[in-house]
Amino acid sequence: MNATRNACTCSLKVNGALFRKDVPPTVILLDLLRECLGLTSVTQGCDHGHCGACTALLDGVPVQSCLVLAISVPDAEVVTAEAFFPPGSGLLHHIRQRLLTAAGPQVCSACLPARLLCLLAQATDGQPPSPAEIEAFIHASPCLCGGQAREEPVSMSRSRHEGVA
Amino acid sequence: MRAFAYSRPVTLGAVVQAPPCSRYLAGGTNLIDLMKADVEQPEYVINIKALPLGDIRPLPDGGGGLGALATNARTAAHPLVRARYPLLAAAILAGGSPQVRNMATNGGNINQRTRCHYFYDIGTVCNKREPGAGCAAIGARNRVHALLGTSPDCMAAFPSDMCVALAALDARVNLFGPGGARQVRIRDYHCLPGRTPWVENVLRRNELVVGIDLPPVSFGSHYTYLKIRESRTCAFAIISVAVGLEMEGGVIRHGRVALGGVATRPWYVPAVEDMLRGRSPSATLFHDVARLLLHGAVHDQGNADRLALAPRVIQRALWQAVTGSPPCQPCAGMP
Ligand SMILES: Cc1cc2nc3c(=O)[nH]c(=O)nc-3n(C[C@H](O)[C@H](O)[C@H](O)COP(=O)(O)OP(=O)(O)OC[C@H]3O[C@@H](n4cnc5c(N)ncnc54)[C@H](O)[C@@H]3O)c2cc1C
Ligand code: SF4
Ligand code: FES
Ligand code: FES
Repeated sequence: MNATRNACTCSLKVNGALFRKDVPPTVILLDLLRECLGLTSVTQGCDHGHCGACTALLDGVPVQSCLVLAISVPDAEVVTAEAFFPPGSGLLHHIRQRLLTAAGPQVCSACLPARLLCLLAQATDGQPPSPAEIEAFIHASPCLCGGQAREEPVSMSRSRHEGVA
Repeated sequence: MRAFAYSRPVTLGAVVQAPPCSRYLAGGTNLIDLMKADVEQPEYVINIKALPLGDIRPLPDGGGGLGALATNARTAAHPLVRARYPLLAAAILAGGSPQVRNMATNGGNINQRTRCHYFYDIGTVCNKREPGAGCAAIGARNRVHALLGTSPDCMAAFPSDMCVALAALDARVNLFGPGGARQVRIRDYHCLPGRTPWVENVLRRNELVVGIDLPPVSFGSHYTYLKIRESRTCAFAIISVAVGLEMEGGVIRHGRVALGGVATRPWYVPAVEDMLRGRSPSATLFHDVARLLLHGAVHDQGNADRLALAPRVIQRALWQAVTGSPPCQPCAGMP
């Protein structure tokens, strides 16, 4: 069996652009997205798969990028919230604020990046979601600390992806 | 994370020639986490995701076959599983979070390791991590530890939800290794800790799980997976109960119950099937079933409350199954 400790080629399509670089096998996808590609909508929370702050879409489904070896998903398509908005767009900030306001003051916000990404990913036409879609989503997506409104997470299994964060 | 050598073979033949000190990487939700914590220190990481083990299909005997590399999410959402094994779908959906289930595979779920805090903390002694070192959990804070199947050397609970439903369904695990293929009942797959807590299952060196066969009996209409936990997402079971009943004219023709979260492996007591067979549901019967399931349970100072809770949860799960699977858990049968 050919196994290597050396840097391996990591080849991905990130937000539509090809990425190819030799990286050590130990590099985690979350770190690659933030540190090599500057995609800071993906954040580090717990670093153990619990909080969802590091959620990215991998081949169309939400995953915790903190538990993925960057080289282990060759040629995968990775999408982060940046894909939906041009840099500097005020809309991303607006939606984030709206999600926070809906949650009230007693929240930790750890779940917001994941919820935001899944909301964007569910918008069928690739356009930013409407206010009604945002409202519906706020009430249907679960949050770990309990700070945010929650209903039965049934809508998760209905979505195009297995679930939303 | 420590450095390791990496490979991604594309044939089973190549995978089972893995060198010593290797670990198979599937979804990575458990292995990568443990490598970050320095609990797992493999010299070789063998990514098995390129193997063609992702299918879910009907079996000629009327059962269902689940590939080892099918994700937990795809398994729970698959029409075959939703229609014929809603108990399994409900158990899978009770575990982790959507993201975790999107990554976690069926083979990885069966082989996931305990969530004992001391096992995760390399600053403490643990017989699973280091054979013979001792057990830091016994006599310490052990609320999440097992009541059943423990030994003086280890009291770690086995954390899987999916495996509890698999035990109730009497699933078979298909293995492949250098010696060829073999099949093991899920109920015999995980080992009790005894004097060797580091031996967690019957996998031989370089063997891997290639699939899971579900028998035709499915408990399609009277089932429940009741999981008591501290949060709806990403919380392991304090106790979970999988119940499958076949009812006829108000009488239990055939029934099975398995427990999770409270035992060192998915807990199944065959005599419960005999106790339920041909009986009408009653408080007395379900009380007796709970007693039989919990026979031999021992608690330590930290987990006595769970021994008091367990019979109540078992009885509630049985009643839920009798009345026809109320949607108290996210389950595949929901619209
Ligand atoms: C935040 C979080 C919350 C969770 N909550 C729950 C929960 O509530 N309920 C629950 O049941 N689980 C829960 N889990 C555990 C999760 O279900 C498991 O981590 C997952 O099923 C493991 O599958 P994987 O494919 O990611 O395995 P990996 O992490 O890739 O592997 C796990 C182990 O299995 C071995 N392995 C993998 N595939 C095979 C194979 N085919 N043959 C032989 N060995 C193999 C690996 O070598 C490794 O030792 C949670 C996990 C996380 C991170
Ligand atoms: S209970 Fe088992 S896993 Fe936990 S510290 Fe003791 S030996 Fe280790
Ligand atoms: S950082 Fe919390 S899930 Fe990845
Ligand atoms: S996890 Fe704290 S606000 Fe959602």
